[in-house]
Amino acid sequence: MSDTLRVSFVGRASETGHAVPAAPVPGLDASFVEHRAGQAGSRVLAHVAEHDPHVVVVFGVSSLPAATVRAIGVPVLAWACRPDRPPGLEHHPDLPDSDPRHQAGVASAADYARVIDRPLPVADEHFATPRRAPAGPRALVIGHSGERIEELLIDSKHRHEVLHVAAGLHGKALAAVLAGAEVAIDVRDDDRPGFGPRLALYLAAGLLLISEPLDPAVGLCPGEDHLEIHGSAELVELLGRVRADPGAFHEIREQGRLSAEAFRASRVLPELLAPYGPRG
Amino acid sequence: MAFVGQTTFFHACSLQVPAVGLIPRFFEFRAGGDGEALLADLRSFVPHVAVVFRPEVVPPGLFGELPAVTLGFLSEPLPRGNDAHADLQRRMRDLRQTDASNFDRVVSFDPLIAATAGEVLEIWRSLALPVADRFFAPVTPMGHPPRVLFVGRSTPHREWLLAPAKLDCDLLHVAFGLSGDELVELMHRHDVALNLHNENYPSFENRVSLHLAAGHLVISEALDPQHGLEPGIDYLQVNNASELRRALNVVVRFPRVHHRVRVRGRRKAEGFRASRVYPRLIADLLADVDAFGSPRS
Repeated sequence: MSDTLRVSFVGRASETGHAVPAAPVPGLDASFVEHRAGQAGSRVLAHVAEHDPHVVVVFGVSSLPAATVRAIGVPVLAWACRPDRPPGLEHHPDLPDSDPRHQAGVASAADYARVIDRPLPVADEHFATPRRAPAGPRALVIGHSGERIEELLIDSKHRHEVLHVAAGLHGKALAAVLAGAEVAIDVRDDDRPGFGPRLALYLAAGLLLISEPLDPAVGLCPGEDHLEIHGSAELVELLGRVRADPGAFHEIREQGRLSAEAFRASRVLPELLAPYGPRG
Repeated sequence: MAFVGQTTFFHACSLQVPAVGLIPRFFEFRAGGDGEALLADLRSFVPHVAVVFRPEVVPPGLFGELPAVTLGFLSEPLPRGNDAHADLQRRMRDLRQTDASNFDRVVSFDPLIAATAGEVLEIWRSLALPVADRFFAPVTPMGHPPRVLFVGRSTPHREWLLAPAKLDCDLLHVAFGLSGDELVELMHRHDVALNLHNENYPSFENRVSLHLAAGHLVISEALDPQHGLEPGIDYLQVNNASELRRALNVVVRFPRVHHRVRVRGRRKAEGFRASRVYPRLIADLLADVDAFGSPRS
C-alpha cells in the first residue's frame, strides 16, 4: 500500500493555485480543481470521484455549498482565506454573496473537519534563487486594488517601474511575471493587521519583499528578510534606493528566500495533512 | 520626429518605425520629470517635429527655444458641461497648468472636449490616438476557452463592472505597468479585450483601437465619440455588469459567434494605424504652421 498522501484542493487557480504543487513531491499527490463561489459543486464531486483523495482541502470556508461538503466521502478541511476582491462590492446584485438563497446554502466552519488558519504555503516550483531581472529592478504587485491600495501605490507607479496585475494570473504566466521582477510590494485594503496571501510566494521567488507591517509576522523580520513601509512616500523613496543600487538589497533577498522555506508546500502540506493520510 | 510621453501609456500610440520620410524616436517623460534633461535629449536628436502627449505635464517655457515644430496631443477626458465628474474636474485643473506657448499646435483626442480645452489652449484638430504598427495582427482562431484581457487601472466603476465577469472567467486584469514587447506579447496571447471607462462618464479610450488592431473581439461600454466605430458591427457594447457578464458567457460558450465583429473591427482599426495617421498629420501641421504661423514664433 502506498504511503503517498492524496489531496484534492478546491479553489481558484488565480488566487490560491500557487499554494498547490503542480508536479509530484515526495509523499504528496496533489490535484487541484477550479471552483468559483456561486457554482454548483458537481465539478468538485466529479473531481473527487476521479482522484479518490484521502482528504479534500477547500480554499475559503464559504466557497462551496454545504451540501457538496457533506457529499464528499472523505474528510474535508477548509483553509481560511478571503476572495481576492476589492472592497465596496459587498452589495453587488450580480455577485452570489448578495443572494440570500446562495448564502443560505454555503458551507460554514461547522461543516468542515477542520479550519486551517495560517498563511498559504508555496508550491515548490515557485522557489527560485534571487537574481537580477534583465529589464532592471521592476516592482511587482499582484492582487486586487482599492482606494487605500491605490493611494499607497500611485506615486510609485508614476515614478518607478511597477507592474500591477489585479486579477487572473496563474500557472506559466504567474511564473513569467515573477521571473521578470526583482521587487514585490504587498499593501492592504485597510488599516487592519494582516499577512497577504502572496507574501510567502514573493519571498520564495527570490524577490525583495516590501510590505506594510505584518501581523502575524509568522517568523519574518523586517530589515532582515523583507523591508517595511508605513506610507506612500516611504515606498517611493525605497524604490528609488533599490533602483539606484539593487545589489545593496541582495542580502535581504537571500534571507527572505531562506525564510520562505518555512512555507514550502512539500514540507508544510504532508506534515499538516498527515493525520488524514494513509498512516493517519 | 520626436515623441514625448510616459512610455507605459503612449509608446503604443507613437510611430515606432520610419514611415514616409518620418524617422521617429520616443522620449520618456512623465509628470514631475526632469524637463532640462528632456530638452537636452531632444536637442541632441535635433527633431523637426516633436509630438508631446499630455502637454499639461511639460514645464512652462521648456520648449520656448526648441528649434522644432511642437504638437501637443491632449489624451485625457475633460468636462463637457458644468455638471462634471470629480475626476474630470481634476483633469481640467491639470490642463490649466499647461503653458500654451510651449506648442505650435494642439490636437485633442476627443472633439467633444475641444470647447472645454479651448478655455486653456486653442485646439487645432481632433483625432483619436493612433496605434503603433507593431500592434496590428491578423484575426486568429479563438482559444478554447477564449482568453480575456483588460488592461487599465482599477477604479470603483471598473471593479463594479468587472466583479461578476472576474468571478465567471479567468479574466486577466493588468492594472498598470506593461508596455513595449511585453504588451505586444500579451496582446497576442489573448482573444477578447474589454474597454471600460475610468468612471461613469463617456469617453473613447485608445485601448479600443489598440485591441481592434490586435484582432481582438472588443467588448466596451458605450463610446462617445465613436471615431467611426459602430457597436454591434465593429465591437460589442455593454451597459452594465450583467450585460458584460452575459456577453462573456456567450463568447466563452460559443467562441466563434462574434467572428465577423472581430473581422470588421480589425478592418476599421486600419484608420488608426500610426504609419498612416502621422505622415498626414505632420504634413498638415507643417503646412499649417508655414501658412499661418504660430503663437510660439
